Amino acid sequence: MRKEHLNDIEIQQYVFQKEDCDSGLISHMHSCETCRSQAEHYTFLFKEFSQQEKPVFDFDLAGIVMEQLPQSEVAREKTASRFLVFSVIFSVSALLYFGGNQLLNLFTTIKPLSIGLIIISVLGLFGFLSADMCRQYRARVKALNF
Amino acid sequence: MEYKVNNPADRFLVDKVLSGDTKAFRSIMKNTEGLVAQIVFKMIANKEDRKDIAQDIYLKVFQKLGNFRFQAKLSTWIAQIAYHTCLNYLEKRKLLLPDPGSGQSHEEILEKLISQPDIFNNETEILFYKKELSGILGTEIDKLPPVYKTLISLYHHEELNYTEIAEITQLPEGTVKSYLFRARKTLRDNLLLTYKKDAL
Ligand SMILES: [Zn+2]
Repeated sequence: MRKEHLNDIEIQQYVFQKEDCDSGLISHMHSCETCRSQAEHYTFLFKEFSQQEKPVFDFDLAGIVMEQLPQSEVAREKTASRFLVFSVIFSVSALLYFGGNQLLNLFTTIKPLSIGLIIISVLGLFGFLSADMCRQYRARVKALNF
Repeated sequence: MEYKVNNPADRFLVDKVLSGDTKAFRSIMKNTEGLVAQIVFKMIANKEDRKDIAQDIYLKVFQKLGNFRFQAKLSTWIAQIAYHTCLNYLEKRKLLLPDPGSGQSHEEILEKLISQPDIFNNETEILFYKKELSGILGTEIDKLPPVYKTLISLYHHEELNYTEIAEITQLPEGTVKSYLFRARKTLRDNLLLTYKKDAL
């Protein structure tokens, strides 16, 4: 067993990391009232410390930060796609309702060359929109990765 | 407590934010705000500055989220950003660790106090001390240097281990331990000094 009193580091080690203490140190602690009283002081003090109230921000931090972030892309895309689907359905219905008959005649009167032109334009537009979407996505990922 | 580095809930939220769902960031904030508050309150004394710094921390987290590689817990990584943001603020104002020369005048009084066979003279005194402790503890904690306050709070209040604290502060584990030893001793000594002074 240790004859001399423990120093402050050893006392703290006994209180907070007992598993790292050697047996000589522990047996001294068991038999020495002076060292035990110092250890109990630390135990009591930090038990009291751990029971203190935790600090909280007295303002809506999440709210303030969220306002400063770019608007949710997912939310924006959802709104945009809903609007697109709705307007397509609306236009098609209106077209069929008001001009159903003329529409049926369209394919018999229109020249094959014009149909080809229409298809090429539609495909071109689709390609352009897809490329733009890809570019936007890459830019977004890059912005988050700096 | 088991140290789970790769929390699936963290990964889910981070992936959501990175794929453009900014709203998921609110959940990340809610999960980590307590720990960030603990660091900001202990490091920064000025109330107005706390508000600016707390916002700054989370805006940085949002910007850097793509760099997070899940090598630590998300909360540890965010706490690391919080700690270093506060540290930069303090460095600019030179308010860091105590000046090694300061407090020397207390040393002699303390030596006498602590080298007494018993810190307290009798049971009644212990009882009085315990009763008064909760009242003076808050004030004495506030008087500690910011880094000491933060380390003590992370260990004894947030119950983080040395490894996690070392990751947050990016200090070697040995340094964290020795700072913690000094911080606890300083707090204990100051409390004794205040108590004894009041009792005299
Ligand atoms: Zn002893």
